[in-house]
Amino acid sequence: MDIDLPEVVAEVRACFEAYEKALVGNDVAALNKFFRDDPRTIRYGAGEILYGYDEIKAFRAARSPVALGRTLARTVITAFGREFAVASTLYERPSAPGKVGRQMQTWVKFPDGWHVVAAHVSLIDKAK
Amino acid sequence: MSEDLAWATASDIARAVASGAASALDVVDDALARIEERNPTLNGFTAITSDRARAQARAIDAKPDKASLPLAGVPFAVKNLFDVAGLATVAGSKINRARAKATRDSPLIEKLEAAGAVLVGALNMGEYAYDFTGENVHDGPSRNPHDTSRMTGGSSGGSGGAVAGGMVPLALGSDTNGSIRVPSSFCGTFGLKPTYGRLSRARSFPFVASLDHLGPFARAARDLALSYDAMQGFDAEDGACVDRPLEPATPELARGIAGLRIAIAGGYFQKGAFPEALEALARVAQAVGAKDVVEIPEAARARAAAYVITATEGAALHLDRLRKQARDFDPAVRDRLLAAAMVPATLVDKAQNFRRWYRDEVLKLFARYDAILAPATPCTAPKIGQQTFVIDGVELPVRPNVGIYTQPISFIGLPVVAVPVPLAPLPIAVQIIAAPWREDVALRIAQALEQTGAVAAPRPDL
Amino acid sequence: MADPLDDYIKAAAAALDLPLEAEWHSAIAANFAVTLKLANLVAEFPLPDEAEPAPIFKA
Repeated sequence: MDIDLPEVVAEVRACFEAYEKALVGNDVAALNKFFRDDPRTIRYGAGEILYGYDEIKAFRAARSPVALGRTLARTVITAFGREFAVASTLYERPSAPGKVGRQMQTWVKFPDGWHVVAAHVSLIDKAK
Repeated sequence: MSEDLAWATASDIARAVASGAASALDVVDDALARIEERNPTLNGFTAITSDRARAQARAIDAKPDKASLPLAGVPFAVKNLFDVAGLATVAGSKINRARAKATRDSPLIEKLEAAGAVLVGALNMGEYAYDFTGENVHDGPSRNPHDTSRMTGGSSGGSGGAVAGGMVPLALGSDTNGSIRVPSSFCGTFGLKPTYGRLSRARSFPFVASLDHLGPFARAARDLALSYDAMQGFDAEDGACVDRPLEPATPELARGIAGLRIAIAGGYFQKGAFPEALEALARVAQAVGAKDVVEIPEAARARAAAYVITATEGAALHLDRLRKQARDFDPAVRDRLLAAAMVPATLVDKAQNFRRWYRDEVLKLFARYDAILAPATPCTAPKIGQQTFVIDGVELPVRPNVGIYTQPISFIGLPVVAVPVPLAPLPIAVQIIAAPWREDVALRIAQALEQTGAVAAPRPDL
Repeated sequence: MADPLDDYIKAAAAALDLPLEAEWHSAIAANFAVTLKLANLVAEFPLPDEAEPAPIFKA
């Protein structure tokens, strides 16, 4: 199997960056398009547990649009073959000082493009 | 009667006086008594014009057409940079005390009185308006009615404090980089900074001709609209005043906000915000159903450009006074102006060029949205005399940084209504920013928010 | 070691006939440094030569 084929990593990175822009701008329509519309899609958020696309969509619609700004660090995208990738990143939010956030996404390429099929977001205290 | 009147809105008072249920003289006597009782603590007033006020009140009571006066009997006060006939226009300074007394009121006072309102006095301010704290070295600090150990914010400190403290229901202030919006935030009042060039600045002592605006403070959105409508009108005596037809906002308030596209400013406008500022913003956003977050481009640079233009135009205005009476200034004002006098013009011209670019970019956002929400201040009122606070993990001086969210907006003259969110223990405001000349949109949103209870001018324990 | 701006401030004060008491100098220098830094932040923003200033004079 080919790991980290450059063209595949580039494709996933473009999706990842577009997702990030939609997230901080609270572009709910775009965010919904990135996640796979399927009951098997799962998102463990920083404060919520969401099974299935419907629960994820409902969360996006109700989410407060304030204090979403964040800076990313140590983003790593690893592609296995041509249709599977994992994107991991750290983040910091000015509205949550002293904490470091972690986000992992599993991206799969479908006939209509790349979608997130599983994601996990959590925060821990920054190391002193 | 007195407690009711302390917190009555201008709208309520006008209705009572217009109908004959109350006399303007009783209302004004009541206000003057409250001012006498509370001002020693709050220090909002620097001059009380009781004789004139009672004469005006009697005149209102005698008018056969008083039912048609939209502000009948409403006591109001003005920042002491407004010309008041018979007073020297001190603009918070010691130097200006030697000025010849004004022979005529400023046009905004004339218009409010023509609408039935009654001037009761002049209000404390930061020296020459170069201030965000409301502290004055000559007249003492204005004190925040919600916690008198805390600042009112400035430079219209007395305006915010007098309205928040129930001394008057209506006050006028000025706003160059935030001087209406910052005290509104710290004191928990509604404040309107209209579009640049909307209200006449004639017969008021200036600060920065490029950026000065005048506007009202009140405890209700409707009162802002009533006073704003009374004050509208072209005045050739103010070179920056734009000749526009009267555009009354009061009749628009009942329209509500259905169909208005409202976004939230992200990025710079949430960076460094304390939790209270974000909480207030979140509550207002939720109450109006605002979901989209927009980036106002190059806001940090806009704030820097406003800072440079303010300092250098201020220095030019005061150049002669700096040469001859430097020691009579507030040292904090003097040092900033002296430094600014030395800034090369090339850098100021760059700031004015950037300003046109920034204005054009920001106006593109208003093609997509009718209003944008942003915090008014990063935090609630600091203590009087507090020098620093911590923003984003960095210790910064209070004075210049209190205006980080207001400066990039007044820089391009957009109309803003500051709406107070009654958090505990201290209130904090949110800016409702509209497109040029659309004060009506911002006021409609303020009114709708007030009706939901999301925003309100909280009553202090006095 | 004296700040190079110190000479500028003294010379500018002289050229503009502004009073510069010794005890004011460090506050003025600090303010000037901040203003200069912010002014340069604005000046470094690339604008085309054709960019007009915000206030435009009408004859």
